[in-house]
Amino acid sequence: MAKYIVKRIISAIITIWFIMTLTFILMNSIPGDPMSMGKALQPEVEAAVKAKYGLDKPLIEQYLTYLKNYTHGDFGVSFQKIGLTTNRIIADGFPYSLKIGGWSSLFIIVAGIGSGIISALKQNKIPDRVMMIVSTLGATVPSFVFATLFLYVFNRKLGWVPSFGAGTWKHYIGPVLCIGMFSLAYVTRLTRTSVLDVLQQDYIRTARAKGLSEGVVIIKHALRNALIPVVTYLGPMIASLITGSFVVEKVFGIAGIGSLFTTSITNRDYTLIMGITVFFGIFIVIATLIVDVLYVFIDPRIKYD
Amino acid sequence: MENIKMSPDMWTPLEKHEKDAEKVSRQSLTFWQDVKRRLKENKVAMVSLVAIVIVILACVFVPMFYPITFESQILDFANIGIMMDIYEVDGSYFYMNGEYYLIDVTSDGTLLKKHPLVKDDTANKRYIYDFNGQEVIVDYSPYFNAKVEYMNLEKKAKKDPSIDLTEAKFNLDNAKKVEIKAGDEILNPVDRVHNKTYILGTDNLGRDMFIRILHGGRISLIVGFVAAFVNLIIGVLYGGIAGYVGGKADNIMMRVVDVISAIPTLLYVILLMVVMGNGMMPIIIALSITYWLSMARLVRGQVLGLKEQEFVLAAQSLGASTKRIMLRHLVPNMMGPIMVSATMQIPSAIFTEAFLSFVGLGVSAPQASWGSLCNDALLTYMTYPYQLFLPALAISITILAFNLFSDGLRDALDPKQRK
Amino acid sequence: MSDKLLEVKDLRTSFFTHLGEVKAIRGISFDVEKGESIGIVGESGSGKSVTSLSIMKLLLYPGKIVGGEILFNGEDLVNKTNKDMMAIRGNEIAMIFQDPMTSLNPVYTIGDQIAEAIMKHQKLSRKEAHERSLEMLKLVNIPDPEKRIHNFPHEFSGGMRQRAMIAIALSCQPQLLIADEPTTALDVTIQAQILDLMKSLNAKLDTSTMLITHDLGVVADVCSRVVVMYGGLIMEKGSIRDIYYEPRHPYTMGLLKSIPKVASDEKQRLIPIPGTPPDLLNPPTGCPFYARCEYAMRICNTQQPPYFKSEDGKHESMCWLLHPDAPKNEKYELLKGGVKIGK
Repeated sequence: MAKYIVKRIISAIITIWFIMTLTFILMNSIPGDPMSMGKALQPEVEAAVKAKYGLDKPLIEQYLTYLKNYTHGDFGVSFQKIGLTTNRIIADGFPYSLKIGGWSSLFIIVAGIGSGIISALKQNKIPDRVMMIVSTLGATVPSFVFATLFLYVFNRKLGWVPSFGAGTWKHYIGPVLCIGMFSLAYVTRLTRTSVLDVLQQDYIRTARAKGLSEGVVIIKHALRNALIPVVTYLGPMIASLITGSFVVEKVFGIAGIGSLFTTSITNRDYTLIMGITVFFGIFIVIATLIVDVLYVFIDPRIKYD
Repeated sequence: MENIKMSPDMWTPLEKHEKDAEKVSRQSLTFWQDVKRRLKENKVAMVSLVAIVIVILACVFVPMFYPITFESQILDFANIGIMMDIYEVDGSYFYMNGEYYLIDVTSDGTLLKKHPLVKDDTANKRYIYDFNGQEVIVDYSPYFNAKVEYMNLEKKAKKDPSIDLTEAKFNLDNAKKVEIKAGDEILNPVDRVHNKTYILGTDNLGRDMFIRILHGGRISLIVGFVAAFVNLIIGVLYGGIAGYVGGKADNIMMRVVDVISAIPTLLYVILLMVVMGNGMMPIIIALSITYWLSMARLVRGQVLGLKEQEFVLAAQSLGASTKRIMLRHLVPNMMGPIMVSATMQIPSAIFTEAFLSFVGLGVSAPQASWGSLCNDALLTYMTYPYQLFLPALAISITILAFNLFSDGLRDALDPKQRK
Repeated sequence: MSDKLLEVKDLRTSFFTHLGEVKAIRGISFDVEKGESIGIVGESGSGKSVTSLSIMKLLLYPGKIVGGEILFNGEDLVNKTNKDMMAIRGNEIAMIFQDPMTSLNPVYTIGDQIAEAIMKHQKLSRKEAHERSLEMLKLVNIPDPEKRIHNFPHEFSGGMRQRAMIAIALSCQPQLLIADEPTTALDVTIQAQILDLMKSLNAKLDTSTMLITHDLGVVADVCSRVVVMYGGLIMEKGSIRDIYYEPRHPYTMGLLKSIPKVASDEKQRLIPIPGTPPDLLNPPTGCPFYARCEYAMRICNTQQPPYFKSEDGKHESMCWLLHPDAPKNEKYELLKGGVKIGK
């Protein structure tokens, strides 16, 4: 088992290296001097920055400096927001996104699994049909449509919810719901399919043949197996929450990492783009790693190769 | 036994044909005929297919014949919605737009032109017009004044808590936004008509929403289909080779896929778009070279599975060449899941394109894609919701139709359901 | 007071599908006495598995018992609620199934799965139940039981898994063990081991066994009486001697003929029974086997034959050829004296 975990860690490190390298290559393949895109700096400052980040040196050297800096946690300096390091910018915005993402994850897991189970147990009856329609919509309607629709109805028409910012808990309802819509729909369907599939299995018949009550059969035997595929979705779910944040934070006016990322794109702030991309990469890779390790404890059948 | 009436001929042996022992109750169909039949029976999938065809036909053909193009803008007609409240003065009809300017219209909703201002009385917050000698005044002062009063009071209240804002707020909330008077008579709308000139309204530059949505559809659909097609090719080649060759090469190829897919594809697309800039070609390229991963995995899995099956072994032992094996045996069996996957790529691509445009990375003006239309409308959608929600509806319906159809296709291909 | 553990009387079970009512069992009657083992033999679709599921009341939607009685120790199971049945399942009547790989829950250890039944029915503590599990593993001859009790199903071989299933089934010392094709999914050598195990346990624990199979060879090894089913009805029933050496039903004869003879010097063709089983959505009105029977007569596809019994009443067969007025068929008469298995 330890071997498996070590392998996964190595794989994670390779992925992080890969995304760092790819980002570096892409950002440096844009014609023009990155520093010329920003506001003009004083010559001494410009020279100091250039020296620190080796911007006047050949590309390979720049790359190595870049790798060195990044592994030491120095993600560089923003060329648009003068005076701020990327690290600082990320640190400022991250808490908002984390809060939204955290609540959203909780919501998705509880509501998604719950409705999936109910749907499966009441297959083809009204609760199931309703939930299937809702989840189909949730999986197909783009998140920005949800977000704007949500605000239009609940802010403009009903006035229940503030329209931007991140002050009170009311500010969070919209983002938490909208960012998770797609994943919620996916988890519901996944759980439903999984439960239905498991209920067909022979070992469920064996459990009933032992004289166990239906409740025990479902909770102890069926769910324990049915939830395994759902756990494998947790990694992609986090990725989905991150990409969802780009849109949702923009619509709801929240200064989280997602909107920072979109702004840095619009402003062509290359160091910030690189920094945030690598940050996302690391975050996702670590989250996936944790889920993979978790999976080992859940499914005894896993082959360690 | 006593109740049974026996007659001697009861004991005569039955002829073979009377026994119909080998009777097969239903005609057997080929696999694909069965698939087609099941698909046709699936009403949801059929409706979705019809919807998709309608969308495609509309987006391709309507702009060719429609009198208004997607780029033409008439600023005077900016931000006019689908329904208009029209007023009447002396036989002339007019409509008041969001900026309180008056536009001449016909009684059935065709827009004519902006009505010339006689005077822009900024001091008194009103516009003065002339309709065949009749003076018409558009007075927007009530709300304006109430708002100014409220805001001043609010400022004072910050320093002096004893000041009560409730009455001022009440006045503000109940103040009339604008009042139209013809002489002494207050005018109220006489009718609510459909906008006949622009059936889905106009955007903030006076461009026709209907045609822009259709035109946007062209872009979104082209991106969707081309990207899905290229993904299909790359994925099938990569996965097919990996699966068929097997061994170390397969291992390495799949490791590469694993490393790449650890990061959400959207991130790669965004990075590529930053490098390549805006436009339709960059989007297609970016989508094409990133979304093939899942297809490759699928194809490889299929090839690996089929490779082991007996009929491949049988073909090999009969001396069939590798190429023949791949084409005649492997491909037809893989077609099902591949088709389903490809059909699901299309809405995925459309969604991604919309997403990109929404964050500012899509096509550039004046080109319109559904996503960019939504993005353009973002600033003003609270006041002009239709500008956002119509393209959003177009996206949602199209994606929904594709998804439902591919679901239906998947169900039709699933042999476990062979009834 | 009868000695009969189980009496099935005119049992009828149907599946109400959207295509119509599929009459899987159309009126079968048989008994199981205390301590005996009987075999239920038939092809796929004959209704033998449905019989066992009906007895255990484990039929899933859209299956339903539509008539008859199932008397277990004198009490009719058909009317019992699911709650009542839960006390009986695993406790007084236990069942093992065909595919041991899929019949065991992959995420719990073997020990847990055995202990579960024990804890439910015998109210033992966890510790005590695990000790019992260990004993059961030893009883079914699992090597190294102290270690194996902590294994997961995928760490067991096919034969070992089936032994584990038997351990689970017998853990609460049921009076009746129903085994639905227990060896079909196993190799022949393992098959023999499992059958031997079942025979010895049958004797040791005084459990009655109802063995369901399509394989006449297996039945001969383990059972003392045989019930032959086809098309949802019983074609013939009797003792091993009756069935194997004095068969009366053409279907039984066909089954015996189709068993390949392993030890033979001559080269022989396999003799299958041509044709396919009847459609139970629209079951034939007469004898279900008529379409594949080489002796079929006009009466066979119009009237369902009654059961013709032997003198001691223990050997019954449903065939018009046994009617006193029926014409004598040479071939049939020859086979009556027993079919040399494989010839």
